[in-house]
Amino acid sequence: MRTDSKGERGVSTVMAYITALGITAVLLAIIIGGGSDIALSKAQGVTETELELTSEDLAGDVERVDRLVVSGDTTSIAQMQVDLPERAGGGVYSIHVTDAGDSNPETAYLRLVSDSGQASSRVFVRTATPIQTTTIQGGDVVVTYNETADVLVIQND
Amino acid sequence: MERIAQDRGQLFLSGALVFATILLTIALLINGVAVTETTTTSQHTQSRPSAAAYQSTAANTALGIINQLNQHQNETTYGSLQAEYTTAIQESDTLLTDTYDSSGQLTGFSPVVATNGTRIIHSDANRRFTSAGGDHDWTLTTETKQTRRFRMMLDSSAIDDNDEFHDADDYPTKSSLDDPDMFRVQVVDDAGEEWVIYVFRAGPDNDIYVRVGYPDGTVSDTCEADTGDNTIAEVDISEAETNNGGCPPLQFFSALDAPYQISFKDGDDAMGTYTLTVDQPIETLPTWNFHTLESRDSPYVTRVIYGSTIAVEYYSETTSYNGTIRVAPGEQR
Repeated sequence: MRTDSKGERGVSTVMAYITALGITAVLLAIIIGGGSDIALSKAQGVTETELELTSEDLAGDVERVDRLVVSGDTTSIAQMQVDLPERAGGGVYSIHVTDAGDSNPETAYLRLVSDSGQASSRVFVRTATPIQTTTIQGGDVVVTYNETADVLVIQND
Repeated sequence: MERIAQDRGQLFLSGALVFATILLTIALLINGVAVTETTTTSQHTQSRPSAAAYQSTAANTALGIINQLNQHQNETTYGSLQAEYTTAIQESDTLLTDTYDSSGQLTGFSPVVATNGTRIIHSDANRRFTSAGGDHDWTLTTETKQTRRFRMMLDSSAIDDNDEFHDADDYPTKSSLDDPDMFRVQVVDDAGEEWVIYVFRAGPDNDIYVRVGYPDGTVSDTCEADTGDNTIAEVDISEAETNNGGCPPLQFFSALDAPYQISFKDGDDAMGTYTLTVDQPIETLPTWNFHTLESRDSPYVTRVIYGSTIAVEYYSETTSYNGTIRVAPGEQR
């Protein structure tokens, strides 16, 4: 015969296990769900940061090549290799060079877009020499002055 | 009952351990993302070797050499000036190359061409702006394409009082300013267009004023040059300014159709000092209007290097540059 004490009235071992497991499962679900959301948003933020910094690096080097051309009387060679990261946030990305519509000085946009399309960065560039519009793959890039056409060309190395 | 308590205790302990493990895993995951972000940022802040810095260094070196050679004012030939310039450039290039080579950069600069020029100097502050022979109206240069460092220090006590010309509204045309007692700098370009710089004294403080007459017959507003506590005021034609500040009407040299001629009119109505450097060799100037360098009597002329074009090369692991740069100290383009 089992004797029930005051503290154990209405409690059974099975119910205790079920209750504990149930509470644990709910807590796990909340923690994993919330934590993964944080991790995913952080990862996307890192991708956008990397694209932003990469676009600024590229813009800086484009402006450096332009300054070389402008500072000289004549320029037969002005070229700079830009070692951009091959990937951003684990995926490849593309570089889009478009005309911003101004002249004297010339203006252009450098837009970097991840392959998923969910992360992108756009930077405004102002130069004395026009920049040829183009779309290329991210990675090793070379910025070259084309003396014949008097334009700056951004292309894959 | 003891068994139940033990079972319950074990359950709570197990659950707590699992809970702690999960928290630790998520913390490590988020920390890993933060470290990645920091590493990404630091990779983009590295500096790059500068071709532009070398280009600027080469140009400034060439400018310094030109200034140093031109300051000597020794009786010399253009041949020896050019030889000295080339030697100095080569020596500087060797020094710079040694510096840049040590950091993996290939560099070089050399003169392509150096333009012979003349500096005209009037250093006697008590002498009026007449020619060496005393002519009031005389020509300083004839076939000039470029002029730099054209500056006058004027003594207002020797300049006629033309107070009435100060009012631009009353005297809006060149013909209305045609006064035989006013010093003028006349510039006539290759198309026959005439610009005139009128210099006169006006006002209770005997300050100096400048106005510019244009080829179409109109005249600019007045620029003031204060004499301050003494009677001297500065008019810098190349920099388009007076000691009071900017004087935009004086910027007309960039509009000239070269070559052009510079003359003084009524030079006896101005006194002080002036200097200008032109890209004409001495032999092509009206040399009868000047004294020799040897005499140092105002006005006299001296041989200089007006400017130079240098070839610049820069090669590093990431950057290639090959071009030319024009250098001319203080040139108004």
